[in-house]
Amino acid sequence: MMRLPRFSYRRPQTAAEAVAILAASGPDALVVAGGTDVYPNMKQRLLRPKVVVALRGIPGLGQIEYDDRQGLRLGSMVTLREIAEHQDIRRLYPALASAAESVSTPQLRTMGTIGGNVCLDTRCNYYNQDLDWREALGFCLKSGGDICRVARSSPTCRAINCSDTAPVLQAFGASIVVTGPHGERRVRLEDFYVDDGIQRWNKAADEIVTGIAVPPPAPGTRSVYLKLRSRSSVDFPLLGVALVAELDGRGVCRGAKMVLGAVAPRPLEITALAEALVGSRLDKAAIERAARAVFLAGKPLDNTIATISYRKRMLAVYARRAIAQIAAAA
Amino acid sequence: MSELSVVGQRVRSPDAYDKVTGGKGFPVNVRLPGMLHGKLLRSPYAHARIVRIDTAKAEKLPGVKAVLTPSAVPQIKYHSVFFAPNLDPGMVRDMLILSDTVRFAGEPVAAVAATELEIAEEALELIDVEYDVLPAVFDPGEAMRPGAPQIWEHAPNNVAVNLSFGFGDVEQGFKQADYVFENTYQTQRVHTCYMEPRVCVVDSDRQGDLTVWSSTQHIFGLQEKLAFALGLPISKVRVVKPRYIGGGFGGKLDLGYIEPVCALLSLKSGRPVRIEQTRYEDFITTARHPVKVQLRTGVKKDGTFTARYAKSILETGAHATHGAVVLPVHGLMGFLLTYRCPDVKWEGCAVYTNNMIGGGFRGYGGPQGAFAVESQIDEICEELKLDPIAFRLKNAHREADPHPFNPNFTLSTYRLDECLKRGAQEFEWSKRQSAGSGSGTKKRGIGFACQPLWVSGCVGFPGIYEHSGAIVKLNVDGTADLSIATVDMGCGQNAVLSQIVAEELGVSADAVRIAYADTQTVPFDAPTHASRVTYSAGNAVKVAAGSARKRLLEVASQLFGASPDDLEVVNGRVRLKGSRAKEIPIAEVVELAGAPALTLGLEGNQRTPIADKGTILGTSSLAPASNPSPATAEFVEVEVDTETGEVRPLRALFAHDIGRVISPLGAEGQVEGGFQQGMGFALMENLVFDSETGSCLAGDFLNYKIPTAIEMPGEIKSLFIESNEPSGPFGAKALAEPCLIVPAPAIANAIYNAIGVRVRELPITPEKILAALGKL
Repeated sequence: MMRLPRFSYRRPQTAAEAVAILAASGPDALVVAGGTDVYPNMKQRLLRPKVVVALRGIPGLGQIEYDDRQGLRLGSMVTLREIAEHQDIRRLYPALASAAESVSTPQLRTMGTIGGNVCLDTRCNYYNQDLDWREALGFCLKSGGDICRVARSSPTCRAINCSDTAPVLQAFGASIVVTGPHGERRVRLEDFYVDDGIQRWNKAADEIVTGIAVPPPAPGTRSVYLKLRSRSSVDFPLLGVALVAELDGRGVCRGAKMVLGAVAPRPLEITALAEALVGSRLDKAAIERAARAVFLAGKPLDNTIATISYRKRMLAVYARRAIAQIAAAA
Repeated sequence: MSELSVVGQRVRSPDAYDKVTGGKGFPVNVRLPGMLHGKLLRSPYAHARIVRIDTAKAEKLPGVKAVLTPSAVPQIKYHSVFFAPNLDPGMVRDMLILSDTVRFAGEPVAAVAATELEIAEEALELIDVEYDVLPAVFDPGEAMRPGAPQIWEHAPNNVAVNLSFGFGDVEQGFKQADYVFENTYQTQRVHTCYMEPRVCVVDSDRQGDLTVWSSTQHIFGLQEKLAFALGLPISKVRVVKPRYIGGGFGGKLDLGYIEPVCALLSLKSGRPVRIEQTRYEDFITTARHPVKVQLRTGVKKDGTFTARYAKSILETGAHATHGAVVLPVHGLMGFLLTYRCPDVKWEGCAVYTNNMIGGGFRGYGGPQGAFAVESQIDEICEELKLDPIAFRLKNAHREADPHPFNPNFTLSTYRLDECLKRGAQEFEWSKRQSAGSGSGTKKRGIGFACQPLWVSGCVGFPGIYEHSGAIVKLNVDGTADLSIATVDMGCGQNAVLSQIVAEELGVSADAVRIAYADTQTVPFDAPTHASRVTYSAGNAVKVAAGSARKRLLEVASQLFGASPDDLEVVNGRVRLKGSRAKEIPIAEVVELAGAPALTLGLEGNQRTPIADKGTILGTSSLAPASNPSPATAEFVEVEVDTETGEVRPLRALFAHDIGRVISPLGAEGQVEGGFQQGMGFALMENLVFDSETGSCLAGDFLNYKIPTAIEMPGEIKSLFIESNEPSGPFGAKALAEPCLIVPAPAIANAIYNAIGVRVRELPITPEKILAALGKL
C-alpha cells in the first residue's frame, strides 16, 4: 500500500455541478462518497483517477425519510452507521440494518455510506493486491490484462460484488436513484447491476447515485441477512444471503425473495426460490427444496480467501439457516 | 521472605496513559529538523540477479537527496540476530544490506531519500532495474530434493543448518515400548502483528558518528549489528533507547534493512533520514517459521514413555538469521526436554526457500513443538484410554529433579503438578464428555495442553548474550531514577522493574522513574526476549537498588549515630529497625549528602551534618546464576459448528508456575494477549504467499486474519502458582512466552474433544474441520 497518488479534488455544491464535472472529465474522474473503498484502492494503485469528485458538499444527500405509503428513502450519503441505528429501519427492514451493521468496523461504518456500499467495487483474489504482485504474475482483465485468472475462458471479468447491503436492498425490491445530465431516474437494483466485474453497473460515467428508494414492506414481511466471513468484524463477505419473505397469519409463505452476495459480479437472485417456498409453512421439505435451488444457482469461483468447495457447500447451509430464522420469527 | 509492600500490588504501568494516547515515547513519533524520508525499492521477483540498475532519472527528480544501490553499499556478510555475537560460529552470516542477488519477493534492491515521502515513492518508480530472473523454490520439501534451484552456494540441497540432540539409545527404547505412535504435524507462517511498524530515524554528524532511533527490542544488539554491517567501530554508533515501543513479540529482534540503509543515506546526504515500513513491508519482514514435525513415540501400556523421536523441518526462507537459533530452541525446549524419557532423539534442519525470512516470535520454536507434542499425547491417551492429565503427570519432571539439559538450568521450584491439578479443578475438567459425544449442530469440547519446561532467560544456552546492568540514582525529592537498557515492548517491563526498585529501596512504585538512556550511558543488557526481563534484568535491578539502599543507609547512619546495619527504609523514610521514634525521609538524606560541605552562618562556616559527600547511587552488571523453569498448563472450552466448521473458543484458564507475581495486572495482560495470539495461530492466521511468484498475499489486516475483540472468549482466567523461586528477584521467574505456546494445542485438543476428529495442520480453518468430518 502506497501513499495516495496525485489527483485533483473537486467538491461540488449541487448534484448538477457534480454531473457537469464528471461529464467534462470523462473516464479519468471518480466519484467519492465516504472514501472507505475508493481511497484504499487508490493506495494500492488499483485506481488512478485524475479527478476525484466528492459528494460531501451536496446538501440533502444525508437524509433518511420513511412513510407508510412511499416507504424508505435514503440519501446516498447516509452512513452505514446511521442505517444500522435507525429505529424505523431496524423495525421494518431489520435485514438492512443488520447488513449495514455487518460492514467492516465501527470506524469505517461511520465514514462509509449506503451510496458507496451499493457502488462498492467488485473484488477478487487476483485484483485486490499490490501492484508488484499483479505485475509479477501478469495483469488480469480488471487490471488491464487480457485474461480472467479465476475463469480463464471467460470473456468478462468475474470479480465479485461484495456489498452487504445490495443483496438486501434487491430482496426488498428497492430502486437506485441516479442523477445525470437529464435529471433523475430510478432503476431497480436487478437492472442496475450487470454480470461483469469491470462494467459493474448500468450507469453512465456522468451519472451519480443520489439515493435509494425502498418500497414499504407488505404486511407479514420478515427479513434476514446472514454473512459468512472469517471474523465477526472487518471482513468482506465470503457469502451473503439476504432473504425477504411474507408470511400470512397462519405461517404460510406468501412471497419470498433471496439474493446472494459475494458469489457473482452482481447480487445473485435465486429465481427458483419462490417456487420452493411460496405456499409452504417453511417446513423441512420446503427448506430442503430451497437449499437445493440455492446450491445449484450459486457458482463461486476462486475470488476469496475461502475455497470454492467450502463456499459452494455454505450456500445450502446458509440458505437453510436464513429460512429457518424467518420461520422461527413467525 | 518478609512482607512485601510494592511487589505483588496491582500497580498501573507508569506510561499507560502516555501509550494509549499515542505518546511521544514511541519511536514512530521521532521527527528531526531537516529530516528526509527514505523508501526501499523491492524486488517483484523471488529469485533474480540484478543485471543493471539505472537511477539517473530518480536522482534528477527535485527533492531527491540520495540514492543507494548495491554497488554503493558495504558488502560485509552479517547475521542480523541481536542476541548472538557477530562472529558466533552457530550463526550463518548470509545477509547484506543490499545485494545484487535477490532471494525473496520484496527483498530490497535500492533506496532513496527525499524531502517528502511522496517524492521518495515517485523516485522509486523512476529507478529502472533489469533483472535476470532465476528459478525459485517455495516449498522446503521441494527445496531439499536434488535438482531444486540452489539459493546459496554454501548450502547444498538448500539446507542452512542441520542439528541433532539426544540421550540414551532411542532404538532400544522403541523395543521396550508396548505401542509406537507416528504422526506428523505442520505449522504455518504467522506474523507477530506488532502495532507500531518497524521504523527508524538515523542521523549522522561530520565525524561520521551515527545516532539511531528505532522501534527495537534491543539497543545494544542494534548497535553491534549495525556497526558490523557498515564496517564501523561500535563506538561510532549510538542507539537511543525508546521510552517504550508499540509491540515486538520477537519481531524486532534483528537488524532490519531500514537501519543500515538510513545510516548510509544519512551519511550521503548529511541529513537525518527516516524510514517507516508500511504494513505490507512489515508482513514480509519477520514471521514465525513454519515447521513440519514428525513424531515417533514409544509408550508402555500404562502411558510411560520409553522412547521419543522427532524430526523437524523448519523453513527459514531466503536467509538463515533466526532460523539457526529457533531450530535448536524448538528441538530442545519444544520437544527433547519437555517430559522425562530415558531414550530420546531429535533431528532437525533449517531449509532455505525463496520465501520471506523467518524471524523471532514469542515462543521461538516452542509453539511449533508444543502443537505436535501436546496433540500427539492426547492422541495416544485417546487410543490407549488413558487420562491425559495423569499421563502428563506420570511423565513430567518433578520439583528438585536435576534439569535434563544443563546444570545452569534448575527445577528447584517446579509445580507443573499443581498447575494441572488446580487448573483441572477450577475448570471442572471432570465434567468433560467423551470425544464427539455431543448432539446437535454445535458441539462443545474441552481440552488442555502444557508447556512443561521453559526458560527464564538464556543462561545455559551457547552463543547467546545473557547479562544485565542498571544504575539506580536517588534524587533530592526522594524519587529514584532507574537507568537501564531494557526496552519495554508492551509487556509492562517498565512497571515491573520500577516495582522491584521500589520494593528494594523501600519507596512507593510511583517514586521510581525510568531514565532516558542510550548505548553510551547505561550498562549492557541482553534483549527484551526469551521471557527474561522480570527474572534476569529484575535481578540486576534489584542488586543496583540494593546497592543504592546500602549507600543510603551508610550516609544516614551519620544522622542516627548508629550502624547502617541497624537501619531500615520503610515508606520512603529511614529509621532504626522496628522503631518509629525517629524517621528521616530519604529526600532529606539525599539532600544532605549532596549539599555543600560548608554553609556560611553568623558564626562563620559550619559543617553540614553529613561529612561524606556524593550522589547516592547503586550500580550492577551481572548475569543470573541460574535459569529456573516455569511450568504451564492451559484449559480451553470451544464450540464447533459442525455445519460451517467454525470454532468459537468460549473460555480459557491458564495455570502457570510463575514464581512470585511482581505485577498482577501486567501478568494477566500477558496471559490474555498470549491467548489472542495463540488463538489466531490455532484457528485463522496464515501469512499466505503466492505459490507461483512468491509474493505475499496477506499484506494487510484485511487479508491477514488476526482475531478481533469479538472472537475472544468471554472469559480468560489467570491462575498463578506462586512457587517463590529462590534465585529470582522477590521469588519471580518467567511468564511471557508460554502464554502463547499452549493455546494452539489446547484448542486443537478441545476441538478433538468436541467433534472426535483430529486436525494436524495449523491453522484449523472451517474448511479443514469440514474436511475432517467428511463433509467437504
